[in-house]
Amino acid sequence: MEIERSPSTLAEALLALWTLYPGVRDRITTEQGQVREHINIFIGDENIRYTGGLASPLSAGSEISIVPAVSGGGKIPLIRNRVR
Amino acid sequence: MIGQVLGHCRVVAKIGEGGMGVVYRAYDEVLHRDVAVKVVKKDAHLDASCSQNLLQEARASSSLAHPNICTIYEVGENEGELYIVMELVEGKSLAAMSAVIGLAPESVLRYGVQIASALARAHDRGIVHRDLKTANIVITAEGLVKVLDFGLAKKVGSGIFEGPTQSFATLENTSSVSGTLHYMAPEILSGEVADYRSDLWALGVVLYEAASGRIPFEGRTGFEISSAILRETPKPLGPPVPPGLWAIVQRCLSKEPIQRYQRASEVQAAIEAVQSAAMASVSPAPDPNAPRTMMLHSVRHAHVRKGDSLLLVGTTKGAFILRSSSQRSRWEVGGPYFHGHSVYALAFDGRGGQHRIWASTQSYWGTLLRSTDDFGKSWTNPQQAPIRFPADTGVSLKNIWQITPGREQEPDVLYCGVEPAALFETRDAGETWSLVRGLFDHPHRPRWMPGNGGLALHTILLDPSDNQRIYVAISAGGVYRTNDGGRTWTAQNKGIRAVTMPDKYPEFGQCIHKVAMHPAHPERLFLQSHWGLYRSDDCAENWLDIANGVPSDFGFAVTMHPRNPDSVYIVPVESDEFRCACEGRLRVYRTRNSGASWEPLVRGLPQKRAYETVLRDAMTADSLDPAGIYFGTRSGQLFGSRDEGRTWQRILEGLPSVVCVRSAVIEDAFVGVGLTLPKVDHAPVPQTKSASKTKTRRTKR
Repeated sequence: MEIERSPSTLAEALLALWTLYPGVRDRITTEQGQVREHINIFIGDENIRYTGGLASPLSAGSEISIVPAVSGGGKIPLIRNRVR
Repeated sequence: MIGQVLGHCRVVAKIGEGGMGVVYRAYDEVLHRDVAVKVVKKDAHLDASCSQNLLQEARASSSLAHPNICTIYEVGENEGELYIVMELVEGKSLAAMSAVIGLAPESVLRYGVQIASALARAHDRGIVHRDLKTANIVITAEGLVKVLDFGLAKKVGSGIFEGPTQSFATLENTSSVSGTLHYMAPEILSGEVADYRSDLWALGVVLYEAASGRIPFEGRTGFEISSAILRETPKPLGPPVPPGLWAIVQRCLSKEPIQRYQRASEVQAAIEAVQSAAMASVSPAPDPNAPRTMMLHSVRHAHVRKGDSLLLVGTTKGAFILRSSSQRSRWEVGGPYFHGHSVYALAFDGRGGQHRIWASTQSYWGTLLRSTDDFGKSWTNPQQAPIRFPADTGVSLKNIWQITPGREQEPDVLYCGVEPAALFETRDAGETWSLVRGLFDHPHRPRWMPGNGGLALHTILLDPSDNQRIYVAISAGGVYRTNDGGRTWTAQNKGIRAVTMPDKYPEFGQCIHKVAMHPAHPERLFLQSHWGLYRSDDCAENWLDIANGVPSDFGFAVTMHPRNPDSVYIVPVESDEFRCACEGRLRVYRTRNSGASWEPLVRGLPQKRAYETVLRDAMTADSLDPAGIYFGTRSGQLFGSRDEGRTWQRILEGLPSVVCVRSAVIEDAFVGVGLTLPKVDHAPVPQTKSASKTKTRRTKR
């Protein structure tokens, strides 16, 4: 999916995602707003754990992938956010 | 017609009339079952070839064995009248249920999956429905969808009426047909041949109507309706309809068949994806090679009837629902539900005549509480986790270990014990849940330590004689009791040894594994701890060691006999390090004198190299007489005894690790324990804060 607005951080982009698909929020984050232990979020190819977490900056055209760290190493592409 | 015999069916009563014919209730005198018989109207003017075609079509439809398709048993002719013998379906039509304001989105999704599944089966067999509409869809009391009249409309449409469009101009009484016009795809109105995708258009109309109570294309005349179908776009479905469901409806209602879903199974998968809400965000043009996670896909369901016994089995990789007659000799298995999710807690709630099954599911997507009212065919899939810690606690839910329905006279009250250790309660049947602050704010809580399985509140016991008294057990925190409905709690562990602490008899901190209470003796409790088997005769004020003659006082499960309050079942294991049946012999131990002595029950259980473990919630008793006792093992075996433990049978093997077993008898007054509880007064609301709104609202229309 693509986000029409231009969020400057990952947290803002996710907020846009929650607004469109409210059910996704609790699957990705805990009730305390932390990304779940076995969910990985990437901006481009980089895991956000190394880029500032939810405060990671976005640039125009950034692609966000949310993938569960399935046991055994498999990855399931789930959501891609392309920020204009 | 009443009293007449068609084939071997005696007509009993008229139950309905449609455009095609009259429907009667009848009794099959050979197979001894109630059936429905549809007699095609004589004024349908079937010529010989058309009649033959209809017969062929009905015969083809009779091959459609599917739980959501009304089965056709027989077709025949009687004095020139064609009749069809079919499954007698009792329930409400989706048309009636959706009227005016529509159904809750969860219900639309539940029913939508089943309708799409029925269409998928028919299409796979080359059968097009051609007259799918909410009036042709019946929802049974169990919430099971039955699609009627499969394949019967085809020859009616082309043979009798010479094309549906013309029929509006020529028929005086258009009521039965005009209902159909609302569901007709544009290509049919344009005179083209209908195919599978015309059924998918009708499915889009059905979903729209079920979600909103409105028809997407309306008009005062057949011409206006046709014109709307051909040219207009339907009014959007806003909240509470999930965007994903609206997207499915829109795609079904694409004017060009090529732009719709091309198979009913695709619609089914799409609805299932909305059900598991995380999937709702898949882009509109998904990569066909991308792996997808689907719940309820290709799941077998147990077909539950009144009087049946149920076993609910939770494992580390999903849940199973088993059913049997009251004989309990053969078990039909439904599941796995929540494929790949851990299901640590299951509960049957039969209060107020309902038959709701609750389940907790845990995966890397979080922990959810879900329920089904149709024995697993459809489950709630809340958008927001119903049980959540308030923001000020700084704590996040890890797992739900226990689901306990409230007292009989409070049908909307339930409790959940969770990890990290806390108690939640609902007073509106699960719509909103609140953290019980009296326990969460207890000064001991920061000093509770996690056991091997985590810091879990796993036992909730409601005193049936005192509506203010509740016991909970925490691993490793100990036993706590409230006498004021949850406002204040006291540690009740006097006499329980804590082998892992320097003070062997501390006030709290014991690793309790399970506590059991018999409702006829609520002052008496039986307790299995991490090294220790105890009884209390004074509401947990004092605990007595009752490990008299058991091979080990280490174990997990404790189960009461449903009627004998002196009879208790346990499964000792060798040690906290080994945690397997002592000496490799799987033995259930029973006391019938409240723990003065214990006897092994081994007949039918493996006695060699059986290194089995029965976890704390993996044993249960049913309410029948003689009582059934059931347990599952960590190695995935399920055993049962229908003679109170004298002999055992292996019911299933090869399951994932079993972590929860519960039983129920459908339509029993009290399920799981089998006793009528003493009358107690209505409990007041305990002091709680921070109710969390959920989006699992059920339809109560």
